[in-house]
Amino acid sequence: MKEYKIITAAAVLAFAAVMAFGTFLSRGKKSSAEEARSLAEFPKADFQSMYNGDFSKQMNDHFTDHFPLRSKWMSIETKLRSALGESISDGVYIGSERLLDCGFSERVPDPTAADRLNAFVSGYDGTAYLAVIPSSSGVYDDELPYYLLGDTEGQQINRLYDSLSGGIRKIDAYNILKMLKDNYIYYRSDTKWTSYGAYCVYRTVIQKLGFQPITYDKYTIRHVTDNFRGDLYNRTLYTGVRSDLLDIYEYPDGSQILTCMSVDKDGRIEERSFYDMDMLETEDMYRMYLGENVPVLEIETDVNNQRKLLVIKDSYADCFIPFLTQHFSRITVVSPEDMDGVLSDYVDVSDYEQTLMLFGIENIGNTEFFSGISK
Amino acid sequence: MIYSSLLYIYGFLPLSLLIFSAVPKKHREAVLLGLSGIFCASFGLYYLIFMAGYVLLNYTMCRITEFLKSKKSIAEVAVASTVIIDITVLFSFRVPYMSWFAGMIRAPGGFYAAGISLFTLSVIGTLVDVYKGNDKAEKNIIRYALYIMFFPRLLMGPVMRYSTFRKAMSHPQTGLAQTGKGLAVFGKGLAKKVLIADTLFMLYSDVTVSEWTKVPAVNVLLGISAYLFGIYFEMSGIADMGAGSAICFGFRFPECFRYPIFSKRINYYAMRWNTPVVMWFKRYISWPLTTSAGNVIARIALFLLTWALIGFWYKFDMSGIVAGIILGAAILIESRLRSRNTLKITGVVYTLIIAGICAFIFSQTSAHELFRNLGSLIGLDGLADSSSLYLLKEYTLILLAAAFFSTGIAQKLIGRASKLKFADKLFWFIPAAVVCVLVVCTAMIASGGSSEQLFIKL
Repeated sequence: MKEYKIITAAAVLAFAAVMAFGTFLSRGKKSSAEEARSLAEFPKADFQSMYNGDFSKQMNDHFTDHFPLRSKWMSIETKLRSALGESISDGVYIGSERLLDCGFSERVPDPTAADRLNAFVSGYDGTAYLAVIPSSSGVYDDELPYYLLGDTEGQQINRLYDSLSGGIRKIDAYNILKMLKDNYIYYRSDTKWTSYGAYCVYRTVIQKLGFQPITYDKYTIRHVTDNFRGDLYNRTLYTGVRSDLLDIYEYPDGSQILTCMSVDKDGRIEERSFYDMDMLETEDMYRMYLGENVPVLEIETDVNNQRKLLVIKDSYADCFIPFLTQHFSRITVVSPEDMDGVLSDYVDVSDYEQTLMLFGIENIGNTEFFSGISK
Repeated sequence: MIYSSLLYIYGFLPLSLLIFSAVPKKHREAVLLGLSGIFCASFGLYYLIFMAGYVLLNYTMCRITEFLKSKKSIAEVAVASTVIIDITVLFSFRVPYMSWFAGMIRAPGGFYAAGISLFTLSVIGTLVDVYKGNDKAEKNIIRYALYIMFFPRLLMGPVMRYSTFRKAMSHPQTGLAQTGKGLAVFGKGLAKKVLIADTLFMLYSDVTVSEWTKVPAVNVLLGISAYLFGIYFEMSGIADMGAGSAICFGFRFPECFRYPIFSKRINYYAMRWNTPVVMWFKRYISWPLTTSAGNVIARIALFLLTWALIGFWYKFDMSGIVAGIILGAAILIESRLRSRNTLKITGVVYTLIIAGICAFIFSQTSAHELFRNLGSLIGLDGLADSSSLYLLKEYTLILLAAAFFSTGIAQKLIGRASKLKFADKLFWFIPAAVVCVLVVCTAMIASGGSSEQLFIKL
C-alpha cells in the first residue's frame, strides 16, 4: 500500500521539477513564433505593484508564457476543450472546416469615426471611396453557435456607412462576399480574406473607380505556399483544419511595377520588392504581400495614364493592392496603424483625385486608426 | 495565486514541500506560516498586511477574553465588539453597499480578501468557544496565525474548531508516502475544477447570456444542472486541492463534501454539502437558541432562520436567503411526512428536485430575473429549439460524467477493487493515473495559466 504512494509522490514531484526547471531555463525567451506575440517579461518589483497584487499577476503570466513546451500544451488544450464541451478555445470556434473568431458580434463603430471620415471628405476635392471588409466570422456566421450571434457584420458596417456624409462612395463588400461564401474567399485559420476574396470585391471596386476589371482568366495564379496558418491559429495552435494557400495573381501581359518605395516612421525611403518572398520562411507568412509594415508605400507602374490613387488601409488591403496596380500609374498606400502622427505628415492628399479607404471590420472600433485619418 | 494555476502546481507547492522537508521539525510551523504569508502576498501585499492585522486583533481578543473569564460582563463586551468588527469586515468585502468600509481600511480598488467568508466563521467560533470556556485561548501566535492563514485552508476551508485544528497540527504525519497521498487528492480536486467545473461554467454562461431573450425550457433545465453540478465540482474541487496540499505537509483536516447530490434524503444532502459550515451554524446559532425556543413553532422558525442564514452566508443576497429557507422547509417536510418504507429512488428524486429548485433560485441575481426565468422554465418561450439541440449535443457527455462522479460510485468501486486478490497489482496504476490527470489538467490551463472563473466567491 505504501509503495504506490511513494511512487506517486516521486513521479509527480519529478514531473513538476522537470517542468519548473524547464521554465527556469526558458525564462529569457522574448517572443513566441507560433503564437506570433511577445511573451510576458519578468515583472519589475516595485512597491505599488506588489501592494495591489499586480506583481503576482505578472509573475503568473511570465511563468505561464515560459512554461516548457507551451505550444504543445496549447494544441492539446484546444483538442481537449472541444472534446469535453463546446469547440471553443480562447475565444476561437473550432469548426470542422475552419477556425472562426467568437467575439465578433459586439463591435460598435468608434464614435469619432464618422466625424473623422466626414471631415476628411469635406476638405477633399477628389472622390473618396470606402470599403469595410467583413471578417471570416461575419461571412461564415451560420457555422457559429447560436448564442454568439448578435448583430451581423453587415449591420455593423451599415451602421458606420449610415453615419457618413453622401460625399463618400460606399462599397458593399459584405453582400458580395456573403454571396460567394462557397468559394475559397477566406483563410481557414485567419480572420482575413484570401486573394480570391479580394479579387471578387476588386471587380466591383474598380468599376466604381472608373475602370473595367481584368477578367479572371487573364491571371496566372501562383500558389507560393500551401502551409500558411494565420492569426486564429496563433491563438489556438490547432492543426486540425487544413493549412491555407497564399496566392499571387500575375498578369504577364499587363502592366508591371516599376518601383516600390517604402517610407518608415522616421521618413527614411527604401526600395523594396513588391512581394517579399523571404517572409515565407518566417512565422508571419502573410507579410509576403507588400512586406514589413510601414506607414507609407509608394508604388509606380508602367501604366501610362497619369492617374494617382491614395489607399488608406489596414492588413486586409495587402492582398488587394496587387489588383489595383493594373490601373494606376501611381498608388500611394498609407497605413494609419503604422503611423506616428497623422496622414498629412506623410502625404499631400490634394495630389490625388481618388482615395480608397479599405480596411477590415476589426478596425471600425479602433479610435487610433481613425485619428490617423485627419489631414 | 490560486491552487489551479501553473505557478502553484509547478512553482509554489513543490518549492514549499522542499523547504518544509529541509527544516528541522520544531521550526516547521514557523516555515509554514512564512510560506502562507507568501501565498497571501501573492494576492497583493495589502492582503498580507490585512491578514497580519486581522490575526493580531483576533489573537489578542481571544487572550483578553480568557483573561477576563471571571468578569463575565467585561468579557462579553470584548467578545461582542470583536464579533462585530469581524462581521463588519466580512460584509465590507462581500456586500457592495458596505465597500466604504473596505475603503476605510485602505483596500486597493477591486481587492477581494480571498476566503474571508470561511475564516471569519473560524475565528468567531474560536472566540465564542474561549468565552464559553469550551476551549483555551491559543498562546502560540504562530499556530493561531496558521489557523487563519494556512494556505491549503485559506480558499475553501474547512471551517473547524480550534480544538480540531490543534489536534490535526500536533501530530503531523510527514513523509513521502503522505505526500503521494496528498498529491493524489490534489489531482482529484484539480480535475474536478479544471475539467468539469470549468466546462460546466461555459454551459451555464451560454444559457444565461443576456442578449438571448427567449430561453426554451430545456435550456433552463440545462442551465440549472450546469449550475448545480458546476458549483459542487468547483467547491469540492478547490476543497480537495486544499486538503491534498495539507496532506502533503502531513496534516489531515475534516472532509467538506461527501457526495451530496445523489443522497437518499434531503437532510443528508444538506449535511453532506460543506459539512463544516453547516455544523458551524448549528453549533453557534441554532443549538444555543433552541434551548430558549419554547414551543414547536418557535423551533421551526429557528430552524428555517438558520438555513436562511446559511444561504445568506453563501451569496449575501436575497436569493441565498430564499434558497436556504426552501431547503430548510424541505428538510422539515421530509422529516414529518416521509414514511420509513419509502423507496430509495423516491428519496433520491425528491433530493434532486429540491436541490435543483434551490440551485435555480440560488443562481438568480434579481427578482425580475427570477420571474422571467421561471416563465421560461414552465415553457413560455417554448420547450426546445435548435439552440437546445446544440447545447445537448455539446454538453450531454460532460453532464453525464459530472452526474456519475458526484454519486460516489467511482469511490466505492475503488474501495471494492482494493479487496480483490490482485489488488496489489492494480495499485500500480495509481501513480500513472495521477500523472495522467495532472498532464491533462496542465494542458487545460496551459494557455491562460490558471482557471479562475468561479460560480461563487467565498
